[in-house]
Amino acid sequence: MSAIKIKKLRKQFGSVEVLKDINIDMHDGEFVILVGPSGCGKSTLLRTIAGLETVTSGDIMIGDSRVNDLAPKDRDISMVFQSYALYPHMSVERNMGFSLEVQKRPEHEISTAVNKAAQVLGLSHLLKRKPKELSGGQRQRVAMGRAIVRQPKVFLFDEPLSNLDAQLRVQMRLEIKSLHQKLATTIVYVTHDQVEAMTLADRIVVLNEGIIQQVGAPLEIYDKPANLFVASFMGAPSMNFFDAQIAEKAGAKILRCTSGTELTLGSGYQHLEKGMQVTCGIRPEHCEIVDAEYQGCASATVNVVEPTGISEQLYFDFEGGNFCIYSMERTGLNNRDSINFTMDTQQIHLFDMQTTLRIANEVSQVKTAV
Amino acid sequence: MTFKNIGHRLAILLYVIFALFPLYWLLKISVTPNKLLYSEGVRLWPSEFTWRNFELVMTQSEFPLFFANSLTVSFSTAILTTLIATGAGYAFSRFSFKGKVVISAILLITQMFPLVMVLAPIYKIMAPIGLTNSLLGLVLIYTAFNVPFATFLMQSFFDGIPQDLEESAMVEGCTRFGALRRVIVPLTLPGMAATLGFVFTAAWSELLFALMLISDNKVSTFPVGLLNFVSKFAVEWGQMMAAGVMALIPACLFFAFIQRYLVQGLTAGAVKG
Amino acid sequence: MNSHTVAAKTTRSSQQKLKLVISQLIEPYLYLSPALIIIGLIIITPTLVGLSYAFQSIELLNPFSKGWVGLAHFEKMMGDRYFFKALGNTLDWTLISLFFQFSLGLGLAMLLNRQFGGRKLVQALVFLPWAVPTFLSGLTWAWLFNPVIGVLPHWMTDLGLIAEPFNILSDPQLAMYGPILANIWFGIPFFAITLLAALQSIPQDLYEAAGIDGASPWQIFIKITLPFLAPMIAITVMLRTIWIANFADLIIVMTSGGPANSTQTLPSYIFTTAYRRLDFGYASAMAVALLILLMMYALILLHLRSKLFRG
Repeated sequence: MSAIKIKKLRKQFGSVEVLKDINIDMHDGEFVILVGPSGCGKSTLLRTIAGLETVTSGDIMIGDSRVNDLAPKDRDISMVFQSYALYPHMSVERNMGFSLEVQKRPEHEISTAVNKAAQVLGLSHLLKRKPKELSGGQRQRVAMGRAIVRQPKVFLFDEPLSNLDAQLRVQMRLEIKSLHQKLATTIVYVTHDQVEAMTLADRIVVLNEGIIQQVGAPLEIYDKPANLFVASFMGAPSMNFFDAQIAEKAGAKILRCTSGTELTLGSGYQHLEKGMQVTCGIRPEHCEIVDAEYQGCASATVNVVEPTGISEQLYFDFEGGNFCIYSMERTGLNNRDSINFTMDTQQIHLFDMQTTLRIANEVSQVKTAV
Repeated sequence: MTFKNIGHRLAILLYVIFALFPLYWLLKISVTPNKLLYSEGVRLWPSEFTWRNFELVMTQSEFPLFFANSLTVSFSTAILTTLIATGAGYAFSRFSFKGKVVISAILLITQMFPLVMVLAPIYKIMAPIGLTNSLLGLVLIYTAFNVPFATFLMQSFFDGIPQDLEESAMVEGCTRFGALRRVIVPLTLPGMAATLGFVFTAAWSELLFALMLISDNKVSTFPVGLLNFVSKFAVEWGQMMAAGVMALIPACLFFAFIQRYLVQGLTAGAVKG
Repeated sequence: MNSHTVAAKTTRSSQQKLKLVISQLIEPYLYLSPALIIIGLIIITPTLVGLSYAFQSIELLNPFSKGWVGLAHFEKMMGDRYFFKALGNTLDWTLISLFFQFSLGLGLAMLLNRQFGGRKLVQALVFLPWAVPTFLSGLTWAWLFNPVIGVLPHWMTDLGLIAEPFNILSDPQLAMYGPILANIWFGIPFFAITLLAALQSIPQDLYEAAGIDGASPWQIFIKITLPFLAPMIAITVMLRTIWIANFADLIIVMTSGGPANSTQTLPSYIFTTAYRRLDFGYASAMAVALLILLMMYALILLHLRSKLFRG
């Protein structure tokens, strides 16, 4: 049993409250990712689970036992640090076997465990080397190997890939995922990279300013962000926002933007009250460049075109804010060109202007209920 | 080589000459035969060369004893101080605790205190418990006065070691002390050696406490012995200088040894010198 | 699970918690305690005792001297010509030494702050005086000033500085320059090393950027180098002033404060009073005076610094 339950967890540094009322249930074998901007408390949360920080109040359970008052060494966990924290004076072999060495296990048992882990990670030929003789990716693997050898109840990862270059990062991401599938141990993984979060996690926990913003499966978070923060944080290029008012036209509710542009409102939102102020969000991939004749299209002047090869991102001003369109086609547009575009109004997210919370879409709610 | 470069090398040469000349002179007189001292006073190298002065100092004087006393005191001080400062430096580097600011301020202030202020009280306190005329007394005093600086130095070495390492060790089953012993100390060994060197050098040079507390030749340290010799045998120039060269040797050895850490050492001990 | 084991579990957990809390509070002090104990016993206690001595009569040579004398020592101090002489000497000694140590040290640091063949060796050689035991530096310089075996008097005569070779250490007018010269020699490396470290921490691209912007070497020195060095200079000069003011070894070795107290600084005068005359009471009173002066100096400087930084 290695589920993790966190109940009403609070953590203060002096008078600063860095974690506020955290409640999470992580299931046995689940891959949970804590994501958020720097300073959101995600690393602190991970460190309280590890026992490297004490908690101000609340409970942390690993399996059946409450671990609040246990020293890190007694929590039966392994942690992979951002810096890898390999012991520079020990060989790869001793680094990996360190936890067993500390437990004074017999030598043959240690070497068997180390060799097994080394084989899984392709490190067998490096066992005699010192960490400084390894490449970044190899160090990363040794750090994971060290965690595996211990056979802990829980793996903790603290931004393990952020010191690697882009290519290696993708490769290691795949390795971590396949490792999790092999070992099926609970993983708590901290990152600020939302691509990592989306690709690796069974469930994502989005944190901001010490408060959990949303907990959910990656696509759920992407498709139904619980509030403005989650909507703007998850997704790259990030969601476009503009303000609007609910208005009525020909018996149907519509969105009237500040500048007067009118947009049809999805069927799920017809229950909203007329005159309500909302913040609208739409992802760049849900906007499309169209011909000038297209009915109900809006026009703008392109500020910047960013070709990425596989796609193009067009930036322009719309409704007083920066707007982005993600196009899978090569548009051939240049800066200062005029464009016409349209939004898939079914994909518009609405947020309450006061509370910043997501306004539920009745249709999709019905869908999920069925 | 350009004109500018020549100026640069010349300026450096002047500094080197200024730094080395007094030591060179010490060496020169120590190998000059006595009979030539007066006739060849200003010659840069004597016309005759002799080891006689060193022989006399090694065999006929008490300097070997002083040398041994100083070695004992300096090594004991260095080892004791390094051990104590390792603990204190670790605490400063890794913990935040009540009183940290106050304690570190006190350590800093002790470095700026007029040493002469405590000479008399220490004498009065140590005399009745037999710590005057005792090498142990000197070791204790030197240790106390070197601990603050050594603590700052050790702290800077610990600060250079990522905290992740011991946290990782603690997650993997070590107590904090276990992590310190297995992971941090092995990595700090060069730093501890440097601290040892600094403290050794400081203890080797100390004069005032030794003068104040030591009157018995048997437990004289090298500085005390040399000064006594100078005041007693004011014309034995060659032997005095030979003894001086002897005093220089361990200091120079340790200096070569701590060269790499000079910057760190001096910054930590900016107040110490 | 019956109630008994539940109870046992909760007590164990609360015991664990107590243990954890206590160990976290105590742990840093476990590592610190040896240092605190030895400093408390050998520095703090004697300091407090020394403070009390300042108001007592304690002369080891005079068995009848005992007991509290109030401010008598301080009154005596006010009438002590040598005390004021020593005070003036302390100023001279500190300021002259500091000025030359700093400016020559800065010059050396600038010279060493560039690549040239044999730099490592040169660095080791010019820093060597710092490693020479101070008593030996004192003796060596005293010998250099001695016309019998030293060369300096002869050179000074050749340069026309003095009429005939004699030991300036025995001339009350000139004696102070002996220890000061030795002190400069000994102190240059300290400034050179700390300033060199500060120089090397200035990012190289700043110089490159300034060069591209067309700044002259002098402008670069004034606009980039000095502002970067300023914090380091401020702190080292302040601490060093106090250190030099307290530093008596060279004077005691070279002149013992003589001739006729002409080279006596406060610390050396205090040492002589305690060591030769064994008048611990008066020595302690003067030490208290020195301490107060140094504290005033430090406070004024800190005050100025905070004012400058606010402005």
